Amino acid sequence: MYISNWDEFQKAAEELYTTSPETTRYVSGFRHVDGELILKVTDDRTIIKYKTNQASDLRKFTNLNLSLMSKMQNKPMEGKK
Amino acid sequence: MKELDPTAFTVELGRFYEKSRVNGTVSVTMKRMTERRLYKASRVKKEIPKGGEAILDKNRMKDDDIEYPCLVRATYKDKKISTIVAPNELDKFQNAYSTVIRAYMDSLKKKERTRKKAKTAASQQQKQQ
Repeated sequence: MYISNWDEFQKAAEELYTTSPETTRYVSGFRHVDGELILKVTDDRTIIKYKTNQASDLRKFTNLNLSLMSKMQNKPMEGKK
Repeated sequence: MKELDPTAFTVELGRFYEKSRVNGTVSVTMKRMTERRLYKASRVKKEIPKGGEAILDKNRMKDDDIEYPCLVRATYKDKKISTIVAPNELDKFQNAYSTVIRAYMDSLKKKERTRKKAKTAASQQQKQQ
C-alpha cells in the first residue's frame, strides 16, 4: 500500500486515474507538528499511499497536484517546467 | 460543510494550516465532478455549479473533450470547507494553492547531503595525508 519511491507513486497514481476517472479521489494530509506529508490515491478498490518528511518532495507534490487536477478536469496540460 | 468560491477557499485553507502548527492534521481531498454528482449538487443548491452546465446538457454528444469541474474539500479538526473549481478557473486556483503549500508546509526536513559530503571529503583528505 505504501510506495517508497516518488516516481513509482506518481506513475501508479496517474495510471489509477486513467483507468477509473469517475471514482478515483486524491487525498493529501499534512501534520505540521510531525513535519509529515501523506498522500493517498484510491478508487475504492485499489489504494496507493506515499508518506514523506522531506522538503524536496514539496515541489514534486505541487507538480502532481497540477497533473492530477488537469486529469480530473480532462484538460490538456501545457508543458510548463 | 462550508461552500466557498475558489479564492476564499485558498484563504481559509491557509488559515487552517496556520492553526495546525500546534496540533492536528489538515486534509485536502480532490475528485472529479461527474454527471451524477453534479446532478445531486444542483438538486441540493437549486442551481447548477459553475462549469457544470456543459456536462449536464443532455444534447451533448459523448466525446472525450468535455471538461469537468473539480470538487476540492479541506478539513481541520471539526471545521470543513469545500469548493468547486470550474475548468476555466484551474490556473488561478493552482497558483493560489501552490502559494499556500509553499508558505505553510515548512516543517519538512531539508536535505542534509551537503554536510555529509563535506564530512566525508574532509575525512578522505585526512586519510590521504
